[in-house]
Amino acid sequence: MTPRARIALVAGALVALVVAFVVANGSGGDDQDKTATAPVATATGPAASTPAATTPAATTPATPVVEVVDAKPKGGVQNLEFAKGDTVRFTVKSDTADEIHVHGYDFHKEVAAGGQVTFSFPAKIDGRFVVELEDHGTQIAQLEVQP
Amino acid sequence: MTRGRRAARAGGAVAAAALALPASASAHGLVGKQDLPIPRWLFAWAAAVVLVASFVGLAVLWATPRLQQVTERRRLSVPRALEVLAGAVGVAAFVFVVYAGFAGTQAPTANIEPTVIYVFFWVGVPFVSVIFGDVFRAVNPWLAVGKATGWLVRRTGAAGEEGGLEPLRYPDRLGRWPVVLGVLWFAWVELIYANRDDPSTLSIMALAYAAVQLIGMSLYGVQTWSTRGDAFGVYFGLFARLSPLHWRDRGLYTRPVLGGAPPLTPVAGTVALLCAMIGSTSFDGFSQGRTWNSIVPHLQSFFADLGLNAEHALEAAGTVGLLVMVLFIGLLYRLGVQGMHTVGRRLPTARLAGSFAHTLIPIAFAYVLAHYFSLVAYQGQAIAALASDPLGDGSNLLGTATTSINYTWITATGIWYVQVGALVIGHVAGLTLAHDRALAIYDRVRDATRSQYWMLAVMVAFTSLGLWLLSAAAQQ
Repeated sequence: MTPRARIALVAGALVALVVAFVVANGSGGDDQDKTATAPVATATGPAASTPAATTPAATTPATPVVEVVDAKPKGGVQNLEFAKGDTVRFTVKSDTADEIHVHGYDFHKEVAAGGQVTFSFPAKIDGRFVVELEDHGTQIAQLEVQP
Repeated sequence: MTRGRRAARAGGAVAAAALALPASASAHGLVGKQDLPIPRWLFAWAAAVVLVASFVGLAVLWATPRLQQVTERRRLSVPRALEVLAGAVGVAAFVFVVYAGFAGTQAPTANIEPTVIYVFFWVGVPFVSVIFGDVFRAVNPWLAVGKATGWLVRRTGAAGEEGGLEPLRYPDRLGRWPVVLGVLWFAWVELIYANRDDPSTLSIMALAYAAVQLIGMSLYGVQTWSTRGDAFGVYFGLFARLSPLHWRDRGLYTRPVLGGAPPLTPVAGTVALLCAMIGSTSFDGFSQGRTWNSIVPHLQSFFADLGLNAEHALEAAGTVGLLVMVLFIGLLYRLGVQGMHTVGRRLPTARLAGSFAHTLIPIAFAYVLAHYFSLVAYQGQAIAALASDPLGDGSNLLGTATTSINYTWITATGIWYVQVGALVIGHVAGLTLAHDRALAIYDRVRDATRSQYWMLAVMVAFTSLGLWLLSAAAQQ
């Protein structure tokens, strides 16, 4: 093969790849837009099974609740999933007094023993973030904001 | 967060680490934001690109070796004063960071030391080295102390006529094995050790490491030890081989991209070192995933039954995982070597393994870039606040103590592209190096090409593993 043919082949392959990628990415982006328009707020914890359909607040999805028992999350580290642009909303009920710290967004709220505290803020940053009992250094939930 | 809180948190950290098993999904407490796993569509496209790039590569790559003997051009001279100055800066920085670890707050994110060591030193230096060459050698603090001592000894004539200070002969069998140990030890501290973010512990380890280096240099000579036994110096130096810039003989030389990798001498331990590098980064990804989190309770209870407490049982489980991952990487490479051994005039496997060791350097770098890009991109910004308040005592030296990390300058999607791009480019670079080496060691082009089907398989396996570790399949 001559050097020129080689270069042509490489260039052709690159162009084909870039085109294919842009096309695929475009369709991938559409898919994501579709999912993004539907407000996603699921919790794989005990809160997800709370029946909310009969209450007047049925129009908005139930606010996920993370329960803290003995400075540990009940049922393991809870997953809180939201889409970028939505409102992140969740409640922490704790039998232990501590400060709840949402990493990345860097929100801190005090919770008294036996009390509860609700977070509500716009999901502006995508990524995974640790929600932590600050003084115990224990992760209680993982906040996931999908692009 | 008030200072009282910080102190309280630091105090409870050890106890909490034992309680939080194995909840902590992040590598260490420095990370405020973790990467989202690569989505399935991007995974599929990346895998397709890798395969197409591999076959196009096979079709169009050159037929005579081009990278084995590259010519280097001298571009600049480096004055001796600059060399001395760089060494002094390195020593000063080392002393300051170690001091901060002892004197500053013990809260990991408020003390400058953990961020400097894990973000700027361990990950930042490889990034810089790949672009600008082996800059760490210029500021390497223990090397600077070693060189200064050697100069003093010669200057004062303490060496005398009898040559009592003649260095010992460095054993061939030792090769780069001290570096393998050093890299595994650092990886263990970063990924497994419960007190990994504890500043004073890091300071003690830094001092111990420097002491070992000084002993090594005094036994075997400054130059020999720094290219064989200094774990960080050799580790960063391997990445610097990918750079088109080469600092040597008090000058700056330029060379073709990748031209620095083939001259790597495969002394004992070189293959093991590259497998340890790739394996430890892989374990970092793997240990955050679902698979590992389902294995770890069993391992942990096994070690707990042997009498270890919860914290040490978890560390023991992590140690097993790290070593198994490194062995797995070594096994993959070994399979490729065994395959190449069947081709042509059956070159010995030991020689083949060494001859292709340098082709793993770009793969190792791709893994580091893909796994730690966001760490540098985000946690790296913390240096602005930390530089103003290095000890976490509330001072504000540069007026930037309240700067916070901007998590929005690059999106999750942007990070995905960097990760996938790094793996694909590393894959192509590894293949190119392997192809060029095969042409050099096989007599016939046909044998060289046939041997490269095996290396192609190895490279595809490494790149697929890298993609998988970053993907949703491994992580959720």
